[in-house]
Amino acid sequence: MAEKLKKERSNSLWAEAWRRLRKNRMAMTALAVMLLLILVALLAPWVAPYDYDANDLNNTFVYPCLAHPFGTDNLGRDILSRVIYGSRISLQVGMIAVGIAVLVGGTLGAVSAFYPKVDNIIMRFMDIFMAIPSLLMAMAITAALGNGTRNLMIAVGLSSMPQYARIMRASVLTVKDQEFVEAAGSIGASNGRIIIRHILPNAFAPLLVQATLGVGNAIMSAATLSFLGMGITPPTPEWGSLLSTGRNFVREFWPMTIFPGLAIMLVVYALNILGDGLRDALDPKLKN
Amino acid sequence: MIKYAVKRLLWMIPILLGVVIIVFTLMYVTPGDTATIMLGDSATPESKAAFNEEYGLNEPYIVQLGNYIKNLFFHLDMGKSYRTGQPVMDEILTRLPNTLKLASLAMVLAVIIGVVTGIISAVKQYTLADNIATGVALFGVSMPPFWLGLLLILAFSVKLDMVPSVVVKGQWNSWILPTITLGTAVAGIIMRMTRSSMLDVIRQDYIRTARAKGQKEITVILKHEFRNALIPIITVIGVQFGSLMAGAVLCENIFSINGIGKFLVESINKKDFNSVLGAVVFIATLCTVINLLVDILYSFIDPRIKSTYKGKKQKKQKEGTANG
Repeated sequence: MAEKLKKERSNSLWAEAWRRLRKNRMAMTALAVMLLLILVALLAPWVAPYDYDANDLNNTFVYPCLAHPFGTDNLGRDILSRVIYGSRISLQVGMIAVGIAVLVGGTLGAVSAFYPKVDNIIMRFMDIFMAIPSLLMAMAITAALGNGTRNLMIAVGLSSMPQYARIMRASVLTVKDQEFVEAAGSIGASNGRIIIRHILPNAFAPLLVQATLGVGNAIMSAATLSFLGMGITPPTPEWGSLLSTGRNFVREFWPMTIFPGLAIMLVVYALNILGDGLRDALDPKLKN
Repeated sequence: MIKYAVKRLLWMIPILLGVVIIVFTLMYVTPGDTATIMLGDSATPESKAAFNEEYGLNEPYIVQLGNYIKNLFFHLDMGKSYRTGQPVMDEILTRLPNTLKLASLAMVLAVIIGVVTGIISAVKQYTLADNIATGVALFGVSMPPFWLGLLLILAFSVKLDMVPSVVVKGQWNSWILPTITLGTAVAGIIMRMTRSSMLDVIRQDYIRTARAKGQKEITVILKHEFRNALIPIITVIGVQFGSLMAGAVLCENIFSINGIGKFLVESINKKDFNSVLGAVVFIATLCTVINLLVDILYSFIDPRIKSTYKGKKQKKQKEGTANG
């Protein structure tokens, strides 16, 4: 009996969503690509053919060949290895930045929805925040905090935080008034239990979709800032800073420009498809 | 309606005040002594004191902030650039035309491409054309704009030598690459929005009615479907103006266009924080005004929205007479 109950419970929103997601071939490919990239990033020291910082001044500007599939840069460093090590930093920055945004924004949004007293104050504050385009906000924050990986994560995370607050608030508000919440209350569930077991899991879906799309955007913003010389600066091999170096040689040597950009695009494209797929899977009503 | 517009206009004041306070505070807490950064380590204490005096940096935080807000809101004065000594407002206004030119060219391109492909995609849903268009749109959204810019330079100025890689005054074709670079991502977003908004409308009963009474297909698409699908599209265009301005910052740096964005990045790199503050506040104001205009534009496109305001008014009047 207990087993049967457990089985029924696992047939929840998430199990259903996973079942639908598995049918979406594009989204599953994107998921596989992302998992592969994360694996490569984790195993960078073993996967990368060279050290990312190994200069070889006799072999500068080598075009792609067998020894160097992506070629070498102005200091003879292997571009493939630099892109692989760069994935560590870029993926990390993207995920942690979104983590910050979800944590801060999600909490503020949820508080806003639960406590009407502070709702107005928090949401008006978000309005102010949103009046500044997020990339400019991130620039202002990096200007204030200074360069560096940690500051870049904070800047990108905080600048995208209001979106998460809005989404969380909206979804908690919709869920809060639904019948199953009332039902849970009427069979005697405590407030804490209602919030944690019933409201949050059901309000979390839109936040997850936004976070998936958000990691791509965060990677792009971080790369943009590094490209402009803020955030992560050379010689750290972040994708944006690789491009910023490559830009100086765009006329003479294309591999330094092509490959880091291709990496950014691959990740953002995969995350966009995955995010779209997740949205369709989590809310079948939305799909045409 | 006018009441609504005035209300929105007044609401802009606290928003902009908040923007000024947030950005001013960020710039204030920036590490390092401004006078030392601007004048160099070798500057004498006297010259530093004179610098601080000139820019009012000796005052406590709250006084500086108060002065800034007072000067900005009553005199439209953003103080002087630490770097050039010129008023920040002048520096921005001389560069504004270039930024606006870039942003509007890119927006026009994005709207034309996005709306046309979006309509085609929705009308021919699930065909090859639709699949290609949605795929390309997602591609456009996922492409880092600065990378696209570099690729375009690589292809069309370095290899093919068709257009200049930097914007040259008086040479119109030098604006082609920046426009494409900036417009692509927004075009992708507008296309996706147009498609989904059109798909919502296409299944409505009144569309079937329009066809049943023998309307021409093109009239059905443009007049019955597209007009009703416009609201979300306009919204997304308004919202995208912010990211367009952010993208312009990037584009101006890649194609060395002398606009506000280039000024902003130079100011950040040279730690000229008064200029940074001015540029960010200026762009945020521009975005807020555009969003306000878009909101007001709604009622001209959609009579239903106008009638809700009228409805409220009439209802109130009726209630008033009933009470009286």
